[in-house]
Amino acid sequence: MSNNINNKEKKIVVRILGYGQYIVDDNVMHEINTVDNKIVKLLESGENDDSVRAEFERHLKVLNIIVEEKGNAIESKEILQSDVVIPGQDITLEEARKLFKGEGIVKDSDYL
Amino acid sequence: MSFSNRLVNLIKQKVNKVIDSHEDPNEALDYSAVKQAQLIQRLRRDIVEVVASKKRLEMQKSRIMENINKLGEQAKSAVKAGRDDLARLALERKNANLNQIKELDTQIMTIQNEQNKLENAEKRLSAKVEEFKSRKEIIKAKYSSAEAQVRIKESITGISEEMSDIGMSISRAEEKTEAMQSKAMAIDEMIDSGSLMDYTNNKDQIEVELEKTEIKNQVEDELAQLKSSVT
Repeated sequence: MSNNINNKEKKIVVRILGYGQYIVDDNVMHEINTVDNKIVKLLESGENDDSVRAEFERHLKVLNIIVEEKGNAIESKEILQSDVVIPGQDITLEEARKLFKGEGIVKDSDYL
Repeated sequence: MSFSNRLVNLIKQKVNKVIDSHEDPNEALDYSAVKQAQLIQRLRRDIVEVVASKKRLEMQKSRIMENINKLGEQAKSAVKAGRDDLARLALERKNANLNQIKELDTQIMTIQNEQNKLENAEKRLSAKVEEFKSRKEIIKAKYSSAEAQVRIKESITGISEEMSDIGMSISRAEEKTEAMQSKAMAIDEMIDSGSLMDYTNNKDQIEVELEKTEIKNQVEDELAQLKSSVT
């Protein structure tokens, strides 16, 4: 292996909403960002037809798979802040739009 | 802005508010511990409710399955009795019931997914709460040091992020359970009123018609016998 300690990749903590945290190499962030941008375009488009919905679901699935397969699940007892938070696979287009606008997150006082 | 950055910022804003609301770090630690215990309780309560909702759907499913079998039998008897009209009616009803089963299966799957999520969330949070307790003791012992202050902030931020996430899962699960409960209630009402499918309580139209046909056939048979014995 040519890797030495100096160019060791930075590690990123990613949370999948509703499904826990993963640790991924910094270079995976590029892949995450690419899919993320595609999702943002769909959310901003405001369109709701079946093809948009299907595309949204496909990208969301890819996003989740990237993190689950290229990352390592963090142990339950670890208490770590996430660098990145992505939505879980079961989120709907409507819910994602709300979250994107900053709505739909529960009141702090309820749980924190 | 990317979606993931937006989500991380939303959570950070909430978490920072919690941290900023306590001047005394020790107090912040205690406050967080209380909130954690409350959240675990709420999660456990919600899991019980989700499981109950799922059971209710499964019971409806078995009621409808019984009905499907019964309608199948009725269709057979109708064909035997030469009453295709009744057989057709029974099969139509059977198919309506089959559609209902499909819908119920989807609902059961959705609610099962919510149950898994909440159960995993409960495991994660319980493990973190234990870890937080032991950290809390260590930090409290030396909390005046600058390092301890940093550790307090880290611990509270980390666990609050999990709690905020779980809060969202809970809200979604509660919404879904509520929606499902009202649907289940509607199905129960339809079953009870007999408008949808339950022809098993009282003799239904098909049964009555089939009996009539049977009686008619018996009468014809007897009549034929009488006729042959008389002549």
